[in-house]
Amino acid sequence: MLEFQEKDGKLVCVFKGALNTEACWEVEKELYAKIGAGGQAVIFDLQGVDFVASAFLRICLTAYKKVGGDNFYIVNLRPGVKRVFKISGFDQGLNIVD
Amino acid sequence: MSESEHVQEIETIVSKAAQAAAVFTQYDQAQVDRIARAVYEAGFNHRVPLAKLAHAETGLGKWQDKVLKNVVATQLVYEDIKDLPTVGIVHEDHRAGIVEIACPMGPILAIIPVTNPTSTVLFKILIALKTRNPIIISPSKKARKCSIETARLCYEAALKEDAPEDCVQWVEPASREQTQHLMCHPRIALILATGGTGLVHSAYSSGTPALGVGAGNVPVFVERTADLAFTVEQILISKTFDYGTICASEQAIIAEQCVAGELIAQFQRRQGYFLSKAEVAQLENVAFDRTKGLMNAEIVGQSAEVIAKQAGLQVPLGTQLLLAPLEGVGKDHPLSSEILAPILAFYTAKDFEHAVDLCIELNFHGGIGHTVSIFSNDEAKIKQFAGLMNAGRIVVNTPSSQGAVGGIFNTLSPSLTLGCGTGGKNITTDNITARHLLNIQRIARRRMNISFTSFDQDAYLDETLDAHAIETAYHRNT
Repeated sequence: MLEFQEKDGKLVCVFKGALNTEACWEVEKELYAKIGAGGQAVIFDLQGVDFVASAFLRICLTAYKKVGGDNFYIVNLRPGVKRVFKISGFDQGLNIVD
Repeated sequence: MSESEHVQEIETIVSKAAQAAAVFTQYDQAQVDRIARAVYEAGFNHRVPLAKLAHAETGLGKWQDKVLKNVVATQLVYEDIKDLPTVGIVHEDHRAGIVEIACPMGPILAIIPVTNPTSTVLFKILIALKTRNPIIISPSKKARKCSIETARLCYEAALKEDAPEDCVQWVEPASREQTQHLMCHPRIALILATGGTGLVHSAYSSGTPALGVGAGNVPVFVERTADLAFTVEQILISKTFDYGTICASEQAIIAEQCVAGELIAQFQRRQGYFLSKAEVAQLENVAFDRTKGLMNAEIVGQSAEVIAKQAGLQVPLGTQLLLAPLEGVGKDHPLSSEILAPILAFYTAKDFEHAVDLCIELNFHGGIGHTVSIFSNDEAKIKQFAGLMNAGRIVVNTPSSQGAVGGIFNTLSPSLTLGCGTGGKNITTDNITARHLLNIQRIARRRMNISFTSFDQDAYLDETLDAHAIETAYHRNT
């Protein structure tokens, strides 16, 4: 469900599968501990994600606040997931990169 | 809560609803149907305690009848919509090259009336979640607890089937301004406005798409071929149901003179009490608020005996209906208006034409577009009558309340939000159901209009060629 990689000094969080509420509970603790620790820029890679629940939108918001707006990116959103960010308005504040 | 706190609360609720709407777009038909089933079961299984709660909180109607309203709102509505495709491709016409795709609308604001505070919540949540639309319940101030409890039950059931968080929320606007603020919010996709004319008018004026209802003033025409004993039984089933709180309940009987005497006798045999002229005046003072020009809210949903007592009338024990013989329709005859209680105006008409005239007057006196009723076994008269009325529902030989709501005495879609068309300042005369909560998108594949493309279009520039000439050439099959 979640793997961590280092790339050019950035922490890349690679998510996979359906990020429903239960899945989000499972990864939250470890995720926040990791992204708080290093003070690096953080990238959420959602290439392998086919579903996001509201809980994941909250995770993105929390990560954005923890890391700082200029150091947080969300990349490789599939169209269905990108639409969720668009409809919910979450694409407005977060750095979403194709 | 202060004004600014209320505004902030509304922003938070709407923002959560928008998120739920976004998440809902990812659900497939199977997931949605599991959620709908869970909500139906939860509502149905709690139909009795919710009905009792509604009765205890509002003091209106009868809890036993509120149970039946909850049954309609859950079981009958679910039966009607359970197989309705509401996700993805819902219709394909290969020949025409058209494919229809069902898409949700977005967050729905649901206004709930005090008269049906649990059944309307059940109904609206069921049809909203079946169509992947998050819903925000706005309860009546006088039925806050029971409406919120109903919403909470449904939400918990939905969550157990992995429905999006915040797919059901409730809000308590403390003032009209706050309700207006919510209605006008740009992220609300639709308002389902079940309530009085003022509220429905606000909904339509808000700038947000709305589906509203209208007031009813249902005339019941008892035509000479009606089975009179049967007619009275059906009217009693309807008008005593929940003590007359359904807007589609009968308001006035119009009987052809040749059957009026026997009809009166049938009512009297079944605990219908006919008022004298003096008694009519006494009842008017209690049932109608002349300053507002509306029924007196105090008698809404009260029994005939309770109302009679308030009016100082001596009626036999067990009286179920108070019938007021009237000569005219309008503000000089207050009981010719809508009164949501077991009170009926009674008119004797010379003949069919006179009866229809009276029905039209009543229909137009505060009930345009809602419902009319006829008891008759003459098909031609039924159709003639129907064509002259302005009503979304013309119920035949059935109780009007249950008949208009649908699903029990006829095959109308069961609904607790009955459109009254443009006469009632609504956009539809339909019984609102899940079908109305979808945005249908159409793929339109190339299918050439051969008549148009093979026609010499220079002919259009020749002003000497009229429609007939063009039409002949247009439809040549060569």
